[in-house]
Amino acid sequence: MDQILAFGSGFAAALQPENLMFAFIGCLIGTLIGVLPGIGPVAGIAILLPITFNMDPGSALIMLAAIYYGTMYGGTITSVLMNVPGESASVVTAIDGYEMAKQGRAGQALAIAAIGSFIGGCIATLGIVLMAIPLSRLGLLFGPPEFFGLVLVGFSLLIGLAGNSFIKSMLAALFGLALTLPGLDPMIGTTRLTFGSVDMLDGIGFIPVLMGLFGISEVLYNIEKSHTSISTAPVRSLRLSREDWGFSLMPIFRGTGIGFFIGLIPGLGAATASFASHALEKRVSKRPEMFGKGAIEGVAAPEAANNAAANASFIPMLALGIPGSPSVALLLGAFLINGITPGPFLFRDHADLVWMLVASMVIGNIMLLIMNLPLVRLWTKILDIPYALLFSLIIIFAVVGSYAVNGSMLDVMIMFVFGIIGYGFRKIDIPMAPIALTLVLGPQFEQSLRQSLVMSNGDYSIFFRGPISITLITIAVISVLLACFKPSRRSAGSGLRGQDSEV
Amino acid sequence: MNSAAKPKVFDTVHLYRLFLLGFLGTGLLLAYEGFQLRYYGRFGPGSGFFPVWLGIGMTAISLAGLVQSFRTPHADRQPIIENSTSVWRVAAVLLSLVILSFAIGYAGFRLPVLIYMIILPRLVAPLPLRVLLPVALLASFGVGYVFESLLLVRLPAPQLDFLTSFGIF
Repeated sequence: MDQILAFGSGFAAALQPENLMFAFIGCLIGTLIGVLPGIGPVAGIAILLPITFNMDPGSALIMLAAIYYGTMYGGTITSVLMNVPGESASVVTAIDGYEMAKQGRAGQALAIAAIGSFIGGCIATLGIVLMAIPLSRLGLLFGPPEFFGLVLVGFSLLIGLAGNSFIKSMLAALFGLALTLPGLDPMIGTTRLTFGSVDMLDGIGFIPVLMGLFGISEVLYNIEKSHTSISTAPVRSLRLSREDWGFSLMPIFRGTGIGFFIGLIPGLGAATASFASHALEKRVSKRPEMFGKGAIEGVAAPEAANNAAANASFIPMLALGIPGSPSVALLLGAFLINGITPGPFLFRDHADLVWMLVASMVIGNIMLLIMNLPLVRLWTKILDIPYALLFSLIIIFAVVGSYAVNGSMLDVMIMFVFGIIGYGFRKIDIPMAPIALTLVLGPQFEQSLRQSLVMSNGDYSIFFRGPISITLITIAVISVLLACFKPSRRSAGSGLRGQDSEV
Repeated sequence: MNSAAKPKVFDTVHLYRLFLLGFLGTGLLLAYEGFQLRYYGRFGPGSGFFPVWLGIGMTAISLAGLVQSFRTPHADRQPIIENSTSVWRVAAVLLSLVILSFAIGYAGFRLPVLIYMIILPRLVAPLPLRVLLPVALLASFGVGYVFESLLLVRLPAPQLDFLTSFGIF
């Protein structure tokens, strides 16, 4: 009951004109990022993070969160109309969405995608209201061994799912961890791996690294191809028939359920949710032969699932301080930059701000529904912008974003270097989602490992004493073993480059 | 083994091996540097504990990757970049990134970005100047104004006196 009241007061704060404006800007930018194939949510949030440095923390978080869930809506438009997913969570939508568009039903595909996303997003937000506080109370029982286990689960699930090779995913995760080492030791504050450089004392900033890996490398990867204009399917009527509703309603709710639970598990992400819901619908459908040939439920369910997962992934981040995906890891970074530490004490120390953020997510979903239905033709016009202009602008914003973090040209250089490294990684299919997650969570991972060993005088059995840590470490070990002995996933034909979630 | 499996000049498999060697070197460096730091102290693991194990793990997995890459036949070998036009495009963007980062360090944000936005898109696609010029002005002076004056975000300032004296760069 307390949560409902707090949520209500959060609404009052979120409805303030200034907050509405930032939610609107976030939804607008998010949809734009989702529509543009050359840039994903991680690069988008990383590039725009520095512009929030001088903003009120609440407004900044509302805007960044809106960018994140806005991309889930925007990515659908290009999936349906052009068979070009704007971001990875919309890949599966293209299978049936584009087929519908070819049959002259693009409007219906976009309508059900927007409605499914709206329902999924709103129900998942309600889930945040109901689950975040109980989970944060559970988080109070977490000591260093439990936190170590939880972070390990996130890493292992991501390693298991990202990429098509266990070795490549592991190397990506270890590379991300290695980047967290230079600078000051997180436990005792002594310097390490700085190689005598004063600039390295602060370590390698995660924002320039992520901008390089996700933004600049994507530009280099896309610039190889000649960008001729792609034909867009026409959008006629958006009206859904009774039959369309009949086929879509239950899949939307099932997709929401799957997306919500997948969003709760660190490491899985929205792309996994959309794939899982599409597979489930095909299995339970009375007309499985229609999947891949324009089944409307093949659009409704994955869209509900990816939006539900995106919103639900806020729960472990807010309640436990554990982000479930690279995009949410960046949002965690935004909290920290604003002096707010997500975790079990968040709802006690910053309750007003958190409830305002959660309420803004409902408002943002309503804004996105409005933006994505009547204005869909406007969004497709954006794709007429020549890529040569677009990539140049992306580079400029990336330069501004990386410089603004510390006012240092070194960060710009770091971004360019990691842009080239990321380009190489894309060429050889090294997934980048594990790098993002280990880069952000690395210091916490090392700290909880070392704190646990200090507590136990070096006795490793401390990780197997409590029921929570035993369970978490068992899940992590099973997940890594399954990934290790699983055959190559390239044959799955997902069309998604190694299922690099949310990049 | 079919002819498609024959290595081309420098293909993705070579690149993969090069990266594996890079990871191997990084792993060895981390382990070495970790051993130079305190591995274990009176109160538990020291600064070197994590780098040592991370380095060992990275070395072992890169070695496994290298062994696997030489033992497995690669039927899907592809050139890193498909054709010479693409090579030219990527090279142009990379070179422009290097020049831009150095130029911004000396001449500040606005002037290098203005020039960059006029030149680079034309290297990639034949865009008319009447389209590029307004976009370049917006991206340089427009973005500069929005970030510095409205969002209060610092942008690189010119180090060259004659540009500073203009007051607009």
